[in-house]
Amino acid sequence: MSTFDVLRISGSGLYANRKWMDAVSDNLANINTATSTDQAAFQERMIVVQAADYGSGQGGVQVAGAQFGSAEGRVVYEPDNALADADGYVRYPDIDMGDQMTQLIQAQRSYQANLSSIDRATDAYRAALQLGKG
Amino acid sequence: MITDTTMTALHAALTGLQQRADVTADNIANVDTPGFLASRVSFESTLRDELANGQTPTVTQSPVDQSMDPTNTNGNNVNLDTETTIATETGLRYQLALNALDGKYSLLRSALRTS
Amino acid sequence: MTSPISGITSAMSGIPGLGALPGVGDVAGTAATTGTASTSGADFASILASSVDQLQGMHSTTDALATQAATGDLNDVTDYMIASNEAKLATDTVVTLKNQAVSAFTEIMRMNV
Repeated sequence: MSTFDVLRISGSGLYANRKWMDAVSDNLANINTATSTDQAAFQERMIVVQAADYGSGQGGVQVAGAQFGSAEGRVVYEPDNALADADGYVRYPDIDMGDQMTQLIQAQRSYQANLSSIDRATDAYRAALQLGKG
Repeated sequence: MITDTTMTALHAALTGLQQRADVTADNIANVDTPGFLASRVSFESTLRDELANGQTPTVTQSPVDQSMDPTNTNGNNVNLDTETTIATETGLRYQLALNALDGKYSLLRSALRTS
Repeated sequence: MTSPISGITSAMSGIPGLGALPGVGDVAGTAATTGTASTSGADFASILASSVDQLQGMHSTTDALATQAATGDLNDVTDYMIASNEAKLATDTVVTLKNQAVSAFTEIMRMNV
């Protein structure tokens, strides 16, 4: 436990939310990445978070790893595509843009909440450092 | 020698409020963690009882409980609006207690002036 | 007429926490002056006495409100802010009067008679 705990805890929240936004941006960037049917489709990346030191109220959050979505994706009939197989099918990732945008908004809202935690804590710590000077 | 009950009560309140600020920051950081129950700190009733009995308040870490609010689909029960309100209120009460403690110190200091 | 300096000392010891501090109790160590006849209007001792009478009360009020602020029972923040500023101003007033009285006394004692 450090002296200025809130900064560390909220900082861990900022990091986790940034990782989430990174994953969502990656998913959105690759939403139209086609692969041939004998390969796996681009898999949606979801990060797994867990509470650090759960129950103490002072652990923060940590990114435990990532999970990947379906490798099968959506098989679409596109005979003109360079990657199409003998039957004209191509794999696209199974990612829903609406869902990804919702996640992006959530991640941003959480990120801002953690930022305002840090602001508030910095004000409080600064005021404490002025104690007795007046 | 110089510290009176009021100063100790303010010190105890500052410790409790700082702990509450930590816990609320933890809740906000874990707003998306599955299965996470929000933590709560309560120090006011202990402080009130000690003052009512005329004891000197103890300055210590308070116990942390889990909130029993209803959870959402992934088992998380952190409500961002509640936590933000608690955090803002805690920050303001912390400033007030600091102000009060500083006021006590400056009263004593001004009484010590000789010119 | 009571000596203004002894009046100040009793007020000073009324402020909690101050009794044991050096420099405050020592004021009583100087010999009490014999009171001079007051001229007209309110005399110095009564001005002082009225301002210190309320001082103890103001400190108690401020302490009570600060304790309420600590437990979260304070209904209005301005109550506490006003009480604490009043107490601070009153304390400053009393201390300034005390210091002026002491320096005036010292000045008088320095006079060649």
